[in-house]
Amino acid sequence: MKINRRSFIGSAAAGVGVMSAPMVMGAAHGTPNVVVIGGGAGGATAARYIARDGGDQVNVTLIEPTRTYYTCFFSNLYIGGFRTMESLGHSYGTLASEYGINVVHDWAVGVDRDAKTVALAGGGSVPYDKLILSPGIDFVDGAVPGWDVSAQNAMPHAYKAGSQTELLKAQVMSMREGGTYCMVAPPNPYRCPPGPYERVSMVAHQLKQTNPTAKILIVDPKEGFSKQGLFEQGWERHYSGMIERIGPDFGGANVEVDPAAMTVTIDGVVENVDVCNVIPAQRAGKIAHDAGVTDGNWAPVEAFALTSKMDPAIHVLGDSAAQGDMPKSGFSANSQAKVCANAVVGELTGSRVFPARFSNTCWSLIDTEDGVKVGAAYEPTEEKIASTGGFVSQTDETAEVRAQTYQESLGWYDAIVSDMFG
Amino acid sequence: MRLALVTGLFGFIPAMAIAQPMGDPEAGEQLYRACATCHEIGEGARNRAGPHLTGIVGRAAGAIEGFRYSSAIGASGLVWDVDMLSRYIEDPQGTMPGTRMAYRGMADSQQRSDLIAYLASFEAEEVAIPFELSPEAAAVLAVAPDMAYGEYLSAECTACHAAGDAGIPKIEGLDPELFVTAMVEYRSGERTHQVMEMVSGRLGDEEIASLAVFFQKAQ
Ligand SMILES: Cc1cc2nc3c(=O)[nH]c(=O)nc-3n(C[C@H](O)[C@H](O)[C@H](O)COP(=O)(O)OP(=O)(O)OC[C@H]3O[C@@H](n4cnc5c(N)ncnc54)[C@H](O)[C@@H]3O)c2cc1C
Ligand code: HEC
Ligand code: HEC
Repeated sequence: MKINRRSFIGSAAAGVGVMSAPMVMGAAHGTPNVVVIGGGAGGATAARYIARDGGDQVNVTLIEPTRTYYTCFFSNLYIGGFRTMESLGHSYGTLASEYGINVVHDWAVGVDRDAKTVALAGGGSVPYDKLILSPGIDFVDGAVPGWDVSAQNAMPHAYKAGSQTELLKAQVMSMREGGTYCMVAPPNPYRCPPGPYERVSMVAHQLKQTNPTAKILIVDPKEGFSKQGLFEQGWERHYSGMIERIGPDFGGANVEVDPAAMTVTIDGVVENVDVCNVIPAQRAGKIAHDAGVTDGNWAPVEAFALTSKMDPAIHVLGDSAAQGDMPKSGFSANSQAKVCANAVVGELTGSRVFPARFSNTCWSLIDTEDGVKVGAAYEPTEEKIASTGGFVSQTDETAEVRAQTYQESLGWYDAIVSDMFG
Repeated sequence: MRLALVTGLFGFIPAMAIAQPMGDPEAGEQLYRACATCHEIGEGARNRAGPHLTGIVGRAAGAIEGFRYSSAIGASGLVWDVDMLSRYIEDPQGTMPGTRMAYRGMADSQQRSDLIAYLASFEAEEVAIPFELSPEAAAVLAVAPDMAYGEYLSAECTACHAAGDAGIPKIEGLDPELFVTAMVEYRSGERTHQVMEMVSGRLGDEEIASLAVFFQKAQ
């Protein structure tokens, strides 16, 4: 497989493809083109699997502006001091060299669905037979009054990993003694349901060592949240008295910020804060809206191959997709990408297509070696991707079980990034 | 009757059935002084007041030939995994009422983790032990595998199982008999693990058979 198979089979394979599968799409005009927008969890996986399974019968182009992708998953562990930023960075070298993927470091700025081309910020356009969108999230304008992206230095979101994460950590580490870290948590649905609460745990872990009289305030528009019982038990156990959460009953949904004054107004009451981590409401990445495949904030897809409900030549993966029951996670995006890749290669080359099956598991770290997890399996239905059952760690597990769970998360990280980036 | 090469003396313990202990073996070496009066450990260790502890992590309880155990240990039928060891060391009498081990217990969970990490650093020698394939596993192994299907299904597994072995066991190259045995044990709940029970719970015999052959060859 990989490079040698590609170079050995050469152009003869395209001919064989045409002969043996005359009904196959794209065969009429030579090797079909798959274009993937976004080289994150969903896009990198889709590109890799399509290139691997499609061999010489499919051209794959991956459009991604950054040369190093920093994973959001485990970025909270960086804040907690358990990972370095470098360990979260992944480049596209293997996808290009071993899988023959045409990696284009540029922004996609428009999709012409009639001409089937993608316009690039740097000029020029790329034609496609199949377009896969996995552009992640953007923020809903005006979701938190007083905040917009121009305020992200004063009040970081750190919900796209990299410099934002570094900035937030630096602010936490240099916070005045006894100061207040405030998180404005997002409403559903958003990327990584346990993410904000794992973040609070990791911030608390740092503050407990460097600034033990500091306070953490969570302003939350949601009644409840993912793994709530596990987090709350852990916070009580490890960070007793440090963390306060204001839910919607006490004004958590009625919040305004002033980045210049560093204040947060909760139900009319002004609070001075020292670090303010605003995680606004989210929507599909901008290019999905520009491509006209969204309805409201997200891009609706059917459940069998993540095909856009607006355009059969487009698939939408990961956070941007409105697919049903799967949480917006890197694991989900990776799982969806593999199902989509199998269907796309099947359609383009006539190879076998197997029944879709999806799963997700999300680990979170509460404190040193205190790991918890939640997961579920999913199956496609006519209506949506539907959950068929799952599990969650239990409260009161032994320290050994928690340490084991944390170890598993380390194994998972290594496995999934090599499943994405090769 | 077949032979499988596994660590441990009695009973079949698939390679990763035993949770890896998390702790500092060097700190554990100091703590082991509390045990050394009664237990030897390491190459050539002999029984003293207590049985030798070489290879104890993953060893069946009461397994050392020639040592007279209490029935609390000898007839317990359990395997010393990390969790069980920790509980026994924390409170021997409370955990295994009637045990003859006259040791008070170790309250600190970090210390227990360190101590277990030290115990785990002495592996039992590999021995060939007889292992009977269960009828369920044999039935799966009798199904004709579908390699292409196995490859497709394997994509779910590679989100967690990598070529390395840190945190989650490596399954590439695993012997199909061990692979299938593990999967049917997770599926029946005989071997417990939240993730693997869920994963195996939705795999039929053909799917497990195809995965087993795919992973055996994938290396
Ligand atoms: C703090 C935090 C913790 C998390 N922890 C976990 C976890 O433990 N486990 C887990 O499974 N998930 C976790 N997640 C969620 C996970 O990171 C996302 O769900 C996942 O990355 C979504 O994948 P995606 O492909 O949809 O988007 P992304 O991975 O964000 O990828 C989108 C890519 O598209 C690119 N892009 C955007 N627009 C364009 C354009 N116009 N042209 C070209 N490229 C473009 C971006 O540069 C980016 O690289 C966490 C998230 C956060 C924020
Ligand atoms: C005073 C002597 C003594 C001390 C000290 C002692 N043990 Fe024991 N240990 C025993 C005896 C006796 C048994 C057999 C118990 C029985 O049969 O009920 C035993 C059994 C065990 C077993 C079960 C072995 C098996 O083969 O099933 C383990 C594990 C163990 N001890 C660990 C430890 C550890 C770890 C320490 C130190 C923290 C320790 N022991 C300290 C005497 C001792
Ligand atoms: C979400 C992560 C995850 C996924 C997905 C996953 N596994 Fe596992 N697997 C684990 C963990 C963790 C263990 C160790 C469990 C234990 O301690 O018993 C394990 C153990 C195993 C074992 C036993 C290995 C041994 O040496 O004893 C086998 C076999 C296995 N998995 C096969 C699979 C197959 C096949 C798939 C895909 C169909 C799969 N796993 C998917 C996490 C996962």
